[in-house]
Amino acid sequence: MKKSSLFFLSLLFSVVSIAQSNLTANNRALAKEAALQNAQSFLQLIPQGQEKDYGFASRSDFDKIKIGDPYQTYFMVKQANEVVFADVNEWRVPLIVDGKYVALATVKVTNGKGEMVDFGATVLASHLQTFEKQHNGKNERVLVRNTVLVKDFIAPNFSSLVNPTKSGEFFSINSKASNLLYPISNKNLKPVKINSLQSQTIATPIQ
Amino acid sequence: MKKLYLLLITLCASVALNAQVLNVPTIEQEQENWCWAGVSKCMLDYYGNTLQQCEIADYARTTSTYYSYGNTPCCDVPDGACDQYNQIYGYDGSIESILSHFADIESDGVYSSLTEAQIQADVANNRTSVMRWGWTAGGGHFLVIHGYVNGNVYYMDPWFGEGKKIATYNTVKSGNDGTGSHNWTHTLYITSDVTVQDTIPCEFPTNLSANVSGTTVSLNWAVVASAQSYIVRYREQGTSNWTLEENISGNSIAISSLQANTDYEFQVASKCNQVSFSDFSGSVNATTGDAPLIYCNSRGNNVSGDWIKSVAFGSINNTSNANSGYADFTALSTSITAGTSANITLTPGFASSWWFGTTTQPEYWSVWIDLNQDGDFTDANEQRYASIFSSTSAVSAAIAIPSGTPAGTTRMRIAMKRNASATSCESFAYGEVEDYSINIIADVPPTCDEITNLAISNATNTSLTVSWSASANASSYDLDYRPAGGSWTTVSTASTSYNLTGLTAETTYEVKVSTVCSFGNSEYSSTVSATTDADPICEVVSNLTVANITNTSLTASWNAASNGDSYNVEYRSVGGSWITANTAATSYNINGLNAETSYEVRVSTVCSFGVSEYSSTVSATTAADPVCEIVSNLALANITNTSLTASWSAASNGDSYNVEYRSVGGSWIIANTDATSYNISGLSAETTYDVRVSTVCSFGTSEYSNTVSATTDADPICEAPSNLNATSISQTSATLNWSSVSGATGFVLEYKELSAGTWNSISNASTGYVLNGLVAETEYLFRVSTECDAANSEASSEELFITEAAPLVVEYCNASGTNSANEWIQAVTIGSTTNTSGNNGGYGNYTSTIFNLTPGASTYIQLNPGFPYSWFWGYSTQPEYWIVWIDYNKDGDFDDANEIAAQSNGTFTGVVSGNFNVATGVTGTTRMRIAMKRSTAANSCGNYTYGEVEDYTVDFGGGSAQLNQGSAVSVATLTNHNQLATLVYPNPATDVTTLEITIPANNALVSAELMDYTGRVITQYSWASSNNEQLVRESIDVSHLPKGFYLIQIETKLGEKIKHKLMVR
Repeated sequence: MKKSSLFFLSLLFSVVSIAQSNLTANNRALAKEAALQNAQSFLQLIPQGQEKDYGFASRSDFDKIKIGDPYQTYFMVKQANEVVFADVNEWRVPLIVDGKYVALATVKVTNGKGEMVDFGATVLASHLQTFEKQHNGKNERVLVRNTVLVKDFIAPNFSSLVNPTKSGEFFSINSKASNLLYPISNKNLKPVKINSLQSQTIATPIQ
Repeated sequence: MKKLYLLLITLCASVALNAQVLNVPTIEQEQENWCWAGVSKCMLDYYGNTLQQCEIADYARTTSTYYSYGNTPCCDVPDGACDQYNQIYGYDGSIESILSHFADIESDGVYSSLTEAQIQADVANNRTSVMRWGWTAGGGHFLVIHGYVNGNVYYMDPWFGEGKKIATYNTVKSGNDGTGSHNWTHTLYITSDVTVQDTIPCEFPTNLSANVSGTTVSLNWAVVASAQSYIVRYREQGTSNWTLEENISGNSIAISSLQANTDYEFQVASKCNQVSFSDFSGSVNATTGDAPLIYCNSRGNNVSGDWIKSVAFGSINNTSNANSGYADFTALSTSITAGTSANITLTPGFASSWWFGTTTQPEYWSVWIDLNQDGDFTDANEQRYASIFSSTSAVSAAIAIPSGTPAGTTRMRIAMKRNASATSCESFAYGEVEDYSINIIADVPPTCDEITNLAISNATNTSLTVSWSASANASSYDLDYRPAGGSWTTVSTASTSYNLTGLTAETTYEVKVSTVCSFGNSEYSSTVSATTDADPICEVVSNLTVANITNTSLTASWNAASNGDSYNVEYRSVGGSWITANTAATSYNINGLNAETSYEVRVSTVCSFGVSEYSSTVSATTAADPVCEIVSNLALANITNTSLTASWSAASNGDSYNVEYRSVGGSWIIANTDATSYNISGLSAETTYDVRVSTVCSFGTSEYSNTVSATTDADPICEAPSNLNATSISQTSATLNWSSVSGATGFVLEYKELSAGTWNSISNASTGYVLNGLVAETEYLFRVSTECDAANSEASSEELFITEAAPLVVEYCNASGTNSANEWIQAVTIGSTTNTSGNNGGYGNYTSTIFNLTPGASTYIQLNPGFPYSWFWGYSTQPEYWIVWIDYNKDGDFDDANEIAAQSNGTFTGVVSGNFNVATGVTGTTRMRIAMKRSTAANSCGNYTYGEVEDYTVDFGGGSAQLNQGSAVSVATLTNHNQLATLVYPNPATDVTTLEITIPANNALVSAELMDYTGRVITQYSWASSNNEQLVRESIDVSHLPKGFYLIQIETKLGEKIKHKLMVR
């Protein structure tokens, strides 16, 4: 292959990478904006007297909320020799009161528009804040859910997710589980990133 | 199932508008596969049946037939086999089964989701339900639905960290859009009546708020969990009559058509069931705005040929197409600032047909904007565009908004009329009218306000936190700070607080903030000031002491110092250079020191912000090195030809000892031992050895002890064995023995045939040996030498032995009667020995029966014939001819001279007997053959018809080596026995024995008696007297007799009495 071709391909790859990076950054901003716009309407749905079930000490805290940096959600699927990390355009956005992560807003970003669709997960929010305290500095923040293992994982960014260099870059949220993501992705399984989950046949009504 | 749905539909109709959230507990699944246990516990707890998840799992374990949960109780080992999937319904142990078992809650399952109305109906009846998600990424998950408000579902997710959540119905149902992370596949809903144990109070809503838009007021409030619906009441402030809005399903309502520019008061209450209402909340006041404007109508009456196809203006880009002559698009709006303009593009639409194609029309366009927002388009400058000429295609124009136009939303009307211009309120024949909204932005610039509430907090020795209230229109803030009287430093931040770091301790800082807007900055706020804290002190350690002093080490210890993260320990020999070590502890062990040396030690505290001064110096002198003592009392004992033992007294500090030895003048050999003695082996005999010992200590080795010497003994003498002899000599073996020898460790046996030149050698440990594999009738020599430690002895003197000769094998010719049915040899008696043989089918081999004969002696012989008996014929006797042969010369035949020992001189029907002289000079054993043949004499070889032959062994005594025929013998002439002859056989007997008696004609049998040894008669037999020869056989039953010896006594007419001894066993 001639040098000019190599240069062109490198340039093209760089342009695509930058475009994808910008798209992700834009969706992250949209997710944050959607959470900011819609959080109050969800908070008003919290039944009176059940505020603590949703992470709030009292209703007066509703006016204090700030929006944290979103976590992009991936679903992890093992297929043959691949570990697939599927992006479902879903973001978990921390809601913050007095510096404490109290709950998560779930935002779907579709066609350049964000919509807050779910709210809650106070314990998971606390786990995410603990993770951030242990890993200062800016990062992309990735939340991985494995529905077969029944485990969630956190990673600083997607790059460390698919190119693990040390086990410390993956964190299992579940208290009972050890760090499982790294061994899985390290067993000669090729990590692949896709943009949607393919529907799978559901046959038996079990857990 | 159909009935169930009818029931649900009925319920939906009655309670569809009710709202409620059931306050279920938050439950986290305890095991990875226990979401089913988590949702079961959530529901059971809610309905007043508190259980542990492991108890629920154990019920599944003991009842499930679908899954195996192992044999161990789930509360003992929950994360073993118990950590298993489960079914939602339809199986023993499923969630349906669990709810029924523990709480009598009956439920049913469907392979689908619930509608929003079904969820509302269930929740209104206090019924939670179980939802199953099928993960698109694989696997499934159970969750509890417990509420519904305004299109949002309340659910409890047992997944780690999730808990109680609120989501849109579409999200809950299918991962937001059906292509996301999950699908709601199955549902378990409750069918029985359920009650909640705790009564939930009916409270009034809080957080009531009002937003005003014209004459419409929108109210919002917090959801009340127990509320099925809400009631709102309102009134003009200062009046007494309330207006009610009832059966409000959600937590909001918009009340329209209120009086314009009027102050209103609003309150809200909860309705928890048909008879339970809360109090009304506190009032929220709101003032309505102007009444909405009502514009005149305008439209085209026929749009079959032409219409407004599209409008593009600012952010409005609406392809409207035909809309029956008029369309209200006021929901679409665009913003435009007064004093600016924007282009508008208007596109007509025309009818077309296959024949004529598109039929265009001449259209006139008009655009009005209600600039003063008074509800009409008739004021000056409000028609912003009017086409001068007709056009059949799109037209564009710039629409300007005059400067000073009041801000606010107003209406824009667009008319397209065929052939002429329209007026703003006209209805015309052909064409169309559309209305849009325009948001006019005032062209007066906004202000960039100063910030307020500037404050300083969280002072440390190096930092301060500055905060302030947000200012409208701010894009960021400039924060200026300085040491009091110093130069200002500016930092920019988008936040309303900032942490100043890197400051100097105990210094007063001044700060001020300016708002940064996109169109300029505000004035700086007033200055506030604060003083940083003093630096913390890094304390000097105290109570430094030195202990545990050895010859090479000591331990320094001290008290902990404030703010100390660690400590620098410095030490040196007096006058030397300091050596530094660091430790986080308050003591330190200093090693590698020199003995008997004075050392100085000091310690400084290491803090995060610096290092303290050194503590006072303490001194100590290390101990002297210990002495490794030289051993004493070295002595040698137990001296043999190959070894000796060295022993000595134990030395102080000795861990072990090096033992050195050598033959005099040779090199030293070293051995090491922990003991105080050592056995030196492997030495040479008659040699003088030197020995010395040194002590081995942990810190070195001592000097050697004095050297002691000793000479080993001479090797012992090894003698040859004596008294060789051979016994138990057979044809192939012999036992060889000899005397023992002192100092022998073994022997070497040598043997050979006499004529052989080479000895065979065998090593043997003992003084005897059984030599096998020898050749018969052969002369052998053997000799023995002794094995000693040092060397073997000479061989002993030689001894001779001869193996025994092989016996002579003799084969005899066959002889036999071929029919013994009518006569046979019944018994043979030689001397006093009788063999009762009975019928043997013509030949009886009794060579194992040995008759002892004495050479040269006259010997009695008696031969009894045997004959058959029948009740009719009695005994059928035959005339028999008898011959007896003895193979005296043992050559295998009976043909040699003198080998007929006895012969009848005719035929006899009874017992024959006689005496013959045994040959002299005969020894050993040989064969005796007896032939009984009907009517004639038999040959010694060959078969004949009637009669029988028997072979016996006779033993002359004196060994078996005699091969000579012996001297001449006298042949017995056998004649009629003519005497009483008796046989008892078998004897010994077990069951029956036979008494056989032959009586000559001149006599007669009288009686026979069976007696025990005391003379007591047991059985008695008697016969009639006869004058003929008699043969009697009597069977005697002895089976009932005790074991022992008995007597049979026979008595004849002539007075003879014969006794036979009988053994019963």
